[in-house]
Amino acid sequence: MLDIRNITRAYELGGEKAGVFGISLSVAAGKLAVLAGPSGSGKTTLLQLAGLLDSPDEGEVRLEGEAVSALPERQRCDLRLRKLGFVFQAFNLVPVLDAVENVMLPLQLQGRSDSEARKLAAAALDRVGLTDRLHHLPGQLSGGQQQRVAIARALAPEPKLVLADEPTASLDHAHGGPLMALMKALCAERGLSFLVASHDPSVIATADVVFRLSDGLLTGTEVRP
Amino acid sequence: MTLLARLAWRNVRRNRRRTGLTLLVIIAGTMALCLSGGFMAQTFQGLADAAIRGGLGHVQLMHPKALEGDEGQSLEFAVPDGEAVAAKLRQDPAVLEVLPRILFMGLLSNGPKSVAFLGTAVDPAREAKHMAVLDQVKDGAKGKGGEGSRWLSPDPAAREVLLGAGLARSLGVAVGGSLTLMSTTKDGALNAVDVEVVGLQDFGFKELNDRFLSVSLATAELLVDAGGARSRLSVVLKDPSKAKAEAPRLAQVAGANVAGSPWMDLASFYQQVKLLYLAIFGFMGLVLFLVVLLATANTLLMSVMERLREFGTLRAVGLQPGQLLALLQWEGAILGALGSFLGIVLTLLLRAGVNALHLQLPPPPGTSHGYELNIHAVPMVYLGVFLGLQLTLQLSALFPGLKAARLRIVEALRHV
Repeated sequence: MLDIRNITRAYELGGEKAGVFGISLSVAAGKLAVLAGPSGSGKTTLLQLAGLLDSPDEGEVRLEGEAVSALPERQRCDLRLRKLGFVFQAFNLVPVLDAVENVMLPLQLQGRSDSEARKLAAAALDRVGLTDRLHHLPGQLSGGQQQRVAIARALAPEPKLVLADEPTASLDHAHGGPLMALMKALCAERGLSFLVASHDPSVIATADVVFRLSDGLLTGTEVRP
Repeated sequence: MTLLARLAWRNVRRNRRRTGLTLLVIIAGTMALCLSGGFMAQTFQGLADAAIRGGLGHVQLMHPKALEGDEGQSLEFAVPDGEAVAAKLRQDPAVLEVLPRILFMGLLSNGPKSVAFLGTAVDPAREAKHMAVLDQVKDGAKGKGGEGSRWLSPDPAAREVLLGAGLARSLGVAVGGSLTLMSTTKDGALNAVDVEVVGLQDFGFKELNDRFLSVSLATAELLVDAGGARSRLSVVLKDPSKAKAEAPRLAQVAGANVAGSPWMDLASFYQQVKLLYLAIFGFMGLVLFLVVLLATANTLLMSVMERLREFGTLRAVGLQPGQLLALLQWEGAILGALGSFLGIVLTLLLRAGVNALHLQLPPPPGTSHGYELNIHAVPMVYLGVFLGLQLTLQLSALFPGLKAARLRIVEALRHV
């Protein structure tokens, strides 16, 4: 599904060189992979490169066998819309749109009609247990509910790969556990792949494969049976 | 409603105080432009009426040489059979009336004192129906010595004169007084006619009041021996808006050696004031559009800077850079449409209120009496202001929109 080949992205942070350096990894279809490591280890940078939000200095990102990291922005944008889903640590919901409209957003950008987008969005919100919160604005939802809306937004367009940056960091354990269980279930049900950046042990424990990062380098890979 | 338009509408409603302030700027600009446009329209119409009803009519027919040059006050270049031509033109379906005139000049004497004058001879009955002569006489009656003024009698035997208020003052004559008109006949012989002053006229301009007088065509015939020749034929059209088109056609109908000119080509004061007002309005409009441009660009830029992470998210989920620019253009369009609409509504209300006060404005430069403020509602001005502000808002959204569209997604997502 996702192949990252010898990728490097360097930048200055507080006068010091940071980023990721010469990393290669693969995530197979239907697997939940976790990028594990302390803060500053390069998890988010790698996630952004994998999600085509940034371009590598060296190396390449391949999605379903196709080299995509050097494509023009318009095509990368289209790939993000059709093949990738994003879940951010701070949820990043559009504050002026209610839950169902937030989930409808990528569907409408895909060109689906309002009615079709609304139907799919409602189904996605139902899948994450928010049927009774369709018309609540983000400000009227708890952190856990907002994160579930964000997940529904990522899942509704039926992407191939979902990239999640510290998805449980803003949630307590009572919400974090079910969220990971949901991700696992989606992997099994839909053959969906997840690449999750996290240093949360409970998240790492649910992973099919763990990539350990330190100072921008891949220091270990752990594949679970 | 498209996704972007809906999102833009929600964004405009998001920060109501800021949106309110932006709308206030747009509303103020709209009102200033629409009200000044309405005032200008009143001025233009007033000047046009003054020119048309002051004697020009909608179309003036005259000898081509008179149209070209300086022979306006003699019969050398008159329409030789002016009365016959006038009668013929009255049969034309586009013509409401034809008012023949003789323009002449000479000396006006009360015995011990003589003053040069410029005279106009008119048909008293026809003139009173279509021109503002009765207003001029009514206003003249208010001046010194003008009490008892009346318009010229239609009786061909009456030898009467109406004097400009200044001309009467310089001769020390009042209504009821007798004077002698002296001029040359068409053939160059000196001639004189005794006339009775039946009224004073106020033309609205001091220079005209000091020199002008009016008599009937019958009196002028006696004085200058015109023999049916007429200096001018003032044509009143059934449809005044067709003056430009009708002038050459009517000249052709009138026959050889007659040229036609629409009133606006002869009303130089109207043209000068119009140009001056348009220049002032243009400059004021430019300044106002600039103020709106800067104020709204600042607001939209602030709005973009506050939403960087949101824009990063939108870009991450698949919004193209061009769509982000379009989103900001939509926000500008909504602000522009809403502000202009409210501005026009408030303009109409304020206009109705101001007009109801019947405020009197002081006399414009060069004129001798003021007029009532009556701001016109001009749909074309409103439409122009609406479209102009839309363009301004599109311009003001362009820079913030481009800034948003060019954002690096990872930087935008980091923004707090």
